[in-house]
Amino acid sequence: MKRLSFSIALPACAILLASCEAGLRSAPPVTTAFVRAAARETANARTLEEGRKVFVNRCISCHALPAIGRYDSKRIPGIVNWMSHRAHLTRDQKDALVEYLLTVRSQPR
Amino acid sequence: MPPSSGGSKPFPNPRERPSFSMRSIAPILSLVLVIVVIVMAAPAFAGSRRFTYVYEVTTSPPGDVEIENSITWKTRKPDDRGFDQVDFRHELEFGITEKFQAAVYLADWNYHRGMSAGERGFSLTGSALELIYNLTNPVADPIGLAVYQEFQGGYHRFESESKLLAQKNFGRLVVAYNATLEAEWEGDGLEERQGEFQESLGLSFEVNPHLLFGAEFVHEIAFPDWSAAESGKFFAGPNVSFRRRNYWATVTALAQVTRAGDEPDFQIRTIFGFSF
Repeated sequence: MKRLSFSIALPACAILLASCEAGLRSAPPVTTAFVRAAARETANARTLEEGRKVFVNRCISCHALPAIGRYDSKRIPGIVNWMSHRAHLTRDQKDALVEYLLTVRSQPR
Repeated sequence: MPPSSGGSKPFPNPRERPSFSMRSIAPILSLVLVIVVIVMAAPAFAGSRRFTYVYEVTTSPPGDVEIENSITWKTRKPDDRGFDQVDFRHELEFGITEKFQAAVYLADWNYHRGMSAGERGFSLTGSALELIYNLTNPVADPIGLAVYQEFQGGYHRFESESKLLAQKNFGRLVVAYNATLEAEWEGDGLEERQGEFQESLGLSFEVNPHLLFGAEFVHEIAFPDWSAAESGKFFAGPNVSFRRRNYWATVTALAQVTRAGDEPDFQIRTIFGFSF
């Protein structure tokens, strides 16, 4: 019985760890290094945290989180603006999301 | 008992089912129509659902108002080959906070025919209130969790449905699981009671942002009069979800894998929503 529990628990933990890794890749957490790499001087940890929160909560209602590195930085504000009505974003949330995505985009891949 | 998330259940004794004519449901239909028109005028967007039997852990954003309509066609029971039933649900959903949403099922009604369904005709099952509170996020946290509570009231009938919702997003693949406990009271003094435990699992893959394919599985065990459990019933089938800028639709076809005589062999559920 113990062996059976172990054989179920081990793959389950592996899946969970792998999924956490996948989540962190598409929406990297806001660390000190991340804040330092922020795209604009106006960005701060609070704004970036808010942007990440919007990204992982609102965007997934309609689609999988995209690989931001694939997008041209110049297109990101326009894409966010286009989808912001659908996601019911306030102006502050929209700005925070753009700030976060531009920072993710500027990270080394 | 058929898979019940979003569906209605047959009455224990079909002859006690309150049937009525089109004339008697006209006021209800008018009310639904008026509310639909009001909602159409509001600047809202319907949050698209990947599944029809399985609930996801994500909630509507605050201030959001959505309308969802659900149609479920159930047909052919092993003990009643002539059985057909079409269930209708009309839902208004409100985002209250970032993590909390409420929904009102305005009128659950159905058209039925067949030996086990009693007299051919329409039935009004009742109205319901649904509450969902999100606990964790399916991307940022190891697992996304939410709790769900629904209260349904109808003609000599009251039902409580509690769910624990779990979900994990693996990029374009979403896996969701629901554990449901239902309690139901029926009859003149609500003296007839029964319970049910249900598990459902859904997998959905996003081919592109407009098209998703997947499958849903439902397993349920009924407890008539809250005593000994009946044999488990199992349903499985594919689903597809289509979404565009201002509308979406999700369809699931389920076949009964077990041979329970009082359950439909096939059922198809469609949920569609609009943005305005």
